[in-house]
Amino acid sequence: MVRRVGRGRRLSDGDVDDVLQEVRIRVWRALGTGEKIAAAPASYVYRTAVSAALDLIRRRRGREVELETLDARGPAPSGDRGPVTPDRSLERSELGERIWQAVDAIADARRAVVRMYLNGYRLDEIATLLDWTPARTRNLLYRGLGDVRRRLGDLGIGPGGRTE
Amino acid sequence: MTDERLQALYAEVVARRAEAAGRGRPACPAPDAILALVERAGAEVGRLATLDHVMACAACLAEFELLRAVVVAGRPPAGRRLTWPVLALAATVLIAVGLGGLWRARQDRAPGPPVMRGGAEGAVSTVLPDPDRPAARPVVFVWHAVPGATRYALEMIDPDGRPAFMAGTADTSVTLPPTVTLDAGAEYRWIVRAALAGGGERRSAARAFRVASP
Repeated sequence: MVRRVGRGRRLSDGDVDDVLQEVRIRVWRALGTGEKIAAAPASYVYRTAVSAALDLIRRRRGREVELETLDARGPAPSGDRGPVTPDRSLERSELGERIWQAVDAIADARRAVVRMYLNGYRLDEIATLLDWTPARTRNLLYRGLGDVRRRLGDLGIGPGGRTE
Repeated sequence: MTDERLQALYAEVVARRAEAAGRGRPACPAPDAILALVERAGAEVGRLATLDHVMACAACLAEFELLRAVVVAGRPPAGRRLTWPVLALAATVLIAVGLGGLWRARQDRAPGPPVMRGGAEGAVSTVLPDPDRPAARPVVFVWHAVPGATRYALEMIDPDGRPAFMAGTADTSVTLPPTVTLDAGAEYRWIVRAALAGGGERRSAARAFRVASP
């Protein structure tokens, strides 16, 4: 059931568990007794959870940098590292790059909204995050998607073009 | 080209670019900037720039989702449908508060070693470590499967009542990692909670164990 949740595909059970563990430990260490924990304001627990999530992200980024350094120092791998790419995959990859370039070229406000939409977020989620009215969000999104399709059409991709 | 196809192709290109970029992320916004975006704090122009990057970067997108889940759990808007990760984080707050009372109450009520129970509360039946003999290292926690359980959460408490180890698993056993050091002869306690597919929860009785000298 958990894995069927759409948005949850980006947020793994492991991530949730990590934050859960960190929050519990911090609350326990800071407050010590059940009575104090029970009396803690919700805002305190909220800030603790936010702080735990931020620290988790920072730690992971730190590890990424360490691993990158190790990779750079390690021996060069022998042979061809690149995977064999079938033609169809290459076409798909090129199409993706064209879409990327088309999105990259549109105006700032529209671009962020379009990117969010292309990542699967709903209109109401985008409006909430940006603190915009649904009408403004819808307007910018539709104009942005129009820009993308127009640019793809100019490249021969889409209803008016040869490729899709 | 349909919206769905655009979305699928965009997701692929984001993933491909993440692979090509490697592990270094010099151009990524700081975690605090992503938090500001999620909390809707600061100037709109800055938040839009952060959002533009986050939605084009697989690594930042994962971080954004984690922070978003925490923030939404802390401030759920009225009438909004919450997804599981958000509910799990919201539950964190309840667990963090509830466990304190639970463990303290147990310690006050029953100073001796707790007894394994199988009633309504002890619906998760524990197997190892045996409370009556020192556990071998590494300590392996084992319990019986609960029908309908989708996931288990194990909590281990040190002799001072502080959480010393926690783990989540879909399995019915967890091995204590070597990074968690245990004092020989000291009494530790552990409990397992089973999350049920229907949304309910079962838990084991708190159970004590000790480890022998290495």
